[in-house]
Amino acid sequence: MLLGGKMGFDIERLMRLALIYVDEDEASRLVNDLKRIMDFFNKINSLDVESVDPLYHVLDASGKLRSDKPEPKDTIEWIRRHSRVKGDMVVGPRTIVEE
Amino acid sequence: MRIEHIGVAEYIENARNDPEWVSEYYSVLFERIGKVEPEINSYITLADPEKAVKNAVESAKRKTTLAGLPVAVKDNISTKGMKTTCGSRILSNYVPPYDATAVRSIKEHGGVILGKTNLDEFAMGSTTETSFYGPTRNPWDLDRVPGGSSGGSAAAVAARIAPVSLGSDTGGSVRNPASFTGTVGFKPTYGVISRYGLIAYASSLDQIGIIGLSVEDIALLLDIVSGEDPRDSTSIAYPSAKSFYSSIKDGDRYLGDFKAVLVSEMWRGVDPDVNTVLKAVIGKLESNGLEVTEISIPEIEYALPTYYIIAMAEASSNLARYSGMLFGISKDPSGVDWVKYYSRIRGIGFGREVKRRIILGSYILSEGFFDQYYLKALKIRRLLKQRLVKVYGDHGFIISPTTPITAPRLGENIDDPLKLYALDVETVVANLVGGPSISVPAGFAGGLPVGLQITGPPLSDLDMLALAYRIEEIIGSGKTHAPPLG
Amino acid sequence: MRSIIGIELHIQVNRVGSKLFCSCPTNYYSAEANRNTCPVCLGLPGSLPVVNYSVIEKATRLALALSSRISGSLIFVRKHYFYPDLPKNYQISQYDRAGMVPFASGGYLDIGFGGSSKRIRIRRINIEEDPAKISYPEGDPLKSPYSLIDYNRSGMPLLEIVTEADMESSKEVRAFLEKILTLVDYLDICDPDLEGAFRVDANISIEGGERVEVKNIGSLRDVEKAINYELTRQRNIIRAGGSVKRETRHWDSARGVTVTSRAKEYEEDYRYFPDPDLPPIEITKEFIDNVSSNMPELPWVRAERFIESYGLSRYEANVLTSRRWLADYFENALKYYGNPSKLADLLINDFLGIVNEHGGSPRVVKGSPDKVGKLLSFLDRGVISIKILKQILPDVVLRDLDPEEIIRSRGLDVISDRSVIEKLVDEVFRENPKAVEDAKKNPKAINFLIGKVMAKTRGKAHPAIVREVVARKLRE
Ligand SMILES: [Zn+2]
Repeated sequence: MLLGGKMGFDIERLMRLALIYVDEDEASRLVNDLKRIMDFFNKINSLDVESVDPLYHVLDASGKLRSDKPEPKDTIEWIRRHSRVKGDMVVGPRTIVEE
Repeated sequence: MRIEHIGVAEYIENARNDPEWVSEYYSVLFERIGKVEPEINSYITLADPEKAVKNAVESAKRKTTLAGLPVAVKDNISTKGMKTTCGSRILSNYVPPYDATAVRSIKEHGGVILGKTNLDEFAMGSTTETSFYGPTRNPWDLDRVPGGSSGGSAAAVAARIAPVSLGSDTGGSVRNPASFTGTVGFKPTYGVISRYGLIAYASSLDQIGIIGLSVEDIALLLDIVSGEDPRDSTSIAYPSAKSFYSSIKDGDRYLGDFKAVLVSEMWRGVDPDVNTVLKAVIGKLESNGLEVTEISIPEIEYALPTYYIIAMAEASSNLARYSGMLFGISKDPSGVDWVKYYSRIRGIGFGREVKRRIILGSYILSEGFFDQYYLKALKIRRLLKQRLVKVYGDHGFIISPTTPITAPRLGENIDDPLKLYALDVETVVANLVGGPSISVPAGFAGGLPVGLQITGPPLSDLDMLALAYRIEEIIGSGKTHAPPLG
Repeated sequence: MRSIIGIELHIQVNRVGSKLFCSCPTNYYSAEANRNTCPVCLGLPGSLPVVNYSVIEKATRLALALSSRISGSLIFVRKHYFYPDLPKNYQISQYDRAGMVPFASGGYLDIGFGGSSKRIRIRRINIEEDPAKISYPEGDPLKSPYSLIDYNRSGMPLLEIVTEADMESSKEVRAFLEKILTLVDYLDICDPDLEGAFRVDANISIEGGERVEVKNIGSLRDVEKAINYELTRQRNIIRAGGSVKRETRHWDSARGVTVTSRAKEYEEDYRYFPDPDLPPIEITKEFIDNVSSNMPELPWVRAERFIESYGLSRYEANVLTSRRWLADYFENALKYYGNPSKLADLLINDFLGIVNEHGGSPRVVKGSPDKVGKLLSFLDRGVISIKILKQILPDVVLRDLDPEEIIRSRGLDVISDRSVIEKLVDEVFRENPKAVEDAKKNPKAINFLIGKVMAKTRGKAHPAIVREVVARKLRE
């Protein structure tokens, strides 16, 4: 399902990319919003910053390194109380995807 | 006892002198919460009153630094054993097994977590209307929003049902609600308060901030929660041995020691009444010795889209982990494949604005759009940083409105994302540049609070708080005006 | 039809104390499910990664050993894909694109092959985190209604080594892998004999054809099998006039085949970007020099030394230096027993046999090298026979029993006392008069009598003395 004009949104693909299900009603409204927001974003196209390097980290401070000291935790009790477990393993969905 | 005018400093002084006073304070506080909170809806979770009082009295007896001070904490900051929902359905049952570093510091210094405050879902919003737990209302006018996303933290302080609170500020989320509720909202330099335990919205922009009734209160709490944290690689040690609190109290500094600048682009589209109030205040500051100049920074017009591109891209990544596995809402996954399972949980668990931002953020980062939007936004971010750091160096702190308008009515902006985003036009610059920014109450327009914003270069926190403190001395602090409630 | 193979090898850094981004212990092999976990490796909201220094140090060792260029800046990125084994639904990894850089690029490893040497070029080395481990209640994911996740493995450090497509047969790939595994063992990066210590993805094509990626190969034996299977499959397609389709296939170890991933699979878009939680860390020249000056002896250097100093054959030197602990064991035993060649022979043929029978891990070796040295000295001095040595070696190796003690308590020393042996021979002659007569006529029949004498001593009699006494008495 390709919606939208010059900036087409393939909503099926976006739903798969973000893994968020939206029903049809919500989808058409969403696509409308997305188009308007993208128009707003396109404002940046009018600024020439070819020669500028991207800024990935706002401060120049270097990252940190941690010394290799193991510290055992006891998160298992929390997992037992808050997650779906079977024999201390966390239960997850099937990994085979039916098309 | 009346508690409306008791800030952090007064609380600590009283509590350390007389632990009995603490239990009286708490009983008045909880009584007031019982009366006011149903109208405001500033809390998602409240501490058990009995335990809170017990802890506080105990802490006051031990003469700890905070002596049992109650602190309200935004519900996107992790609290061990206390539900932390981010205002989202997807985390409606999430109880963290650990404390955020800022929360741990408060507890270690004898503070008490009073409750978890309402917010826009995952801090994505500027009105606290996108919360799954209903909107928070502005204590000055219950038909209006308190701003956001730290709307609960600001409303609770404004309504005097918390003396001080922690919020988070990604694009103005501490300053915007402070401005709408007549409180002081401070966002430090990126890294000054550890983000460990702050549930990420946009990691390169997020910073924990403080909302209080006065600059002094903020400095007091900042001394407790700031500091380099080995658990946060982006945290830094503030390069000053002196405490923020004692520095701003330093009597040697006058308004005339500071320079400030008005950026003409930041006064465009500002509501005339807001403009009038602020210009009058600035005039008063000038006559008290503050040197004020005016310049133009055309590139600042790009700050808002740049901010939203970066924030959404990072959000789409940070919010990928909510998928109904280890924590948060879940369903029996038996017989369901992971693509369907994740899509459904995320479809049910996230609200509309969050979905918009995750989907758009994923799109921006995907092949073919990455360079055009994400990388380009990062380039503009650098350009803005370079420009602004130069401006700060040449002209001093930037003074501007915190928000272009006073608090809008509930429902007024919620259906139009662009209208909603426009509320952040003044505040996002500080997050893009990484420097500190504060909103101080500057008066009223049409009976609603107006905030004055000061923005500075990274690591100018100490000077900025000192300036704000001097300004407060001249125009009065938010402490003196309480909304007519209860 | 020339085959072209390149591999992506994931080595688990299991010789550090804590995980890549949190301080959870790495010893999960012996831990119960989900015990080695914390907010960071569970991907809980608000948790943040902090880089383990030791992992960077070890990655640097590997890069130096492979002559790779180490990037001056350590940059981690987020690689996004959803899957139940990935707690954050992104993996912290490294990548090559504007603003991102692999840990190291270029380099090579020479493999000895068919008497000559071949250079396999390295494309890059990356550091990344391991996902959690998935298992299935019914074993087979197809038959299981749900999956089961153990997060103990989540956040284990991995080194990804990507080669150029320089290999031409499964044997070359195996030789490359064996050499890399030996190397990472020497560099104290990885115990390659632990389960899950490495995983291989292979890019396989026949010259002129499309490339097929075979994923999920977990053992050395499977590497050869999987590549051979895939090469045969591709050749058969070409011979039948078809063309190989570019695709990703999975190695099904149980069935011994590669299977296509579903035809209409969603194509992942990993949306890499630098992790905002991890500012770049400068890798300074001082740091690299420091690591370089503390490099352990490399396995191929040690093998050359074994050949030169101890006169071992290349084969012996290669086997003994294939694991660091084994080479150490050899050199330690040499302090107690001076004949390198005999020692090498015993270690390669008997000692390793015992270790491999018990799983191949050095952890089963309890006996210290001096005890093995002592055993060989006893053999040389005629205290015990080679048969007895082989009989008691397992007790020495696996149970750390003292050889002298075993020999004494079990009465295993060789009988070389002539008077004792003469008495026994007399006995045997009395009991077997017919055989004695036969032996006098037919020299070959002598073995029957010797066998009888040996049987009476349960093998302990010195065989040469027995033969000599029997022969003499027959002549008398
Ligand atoms: Zn961990």
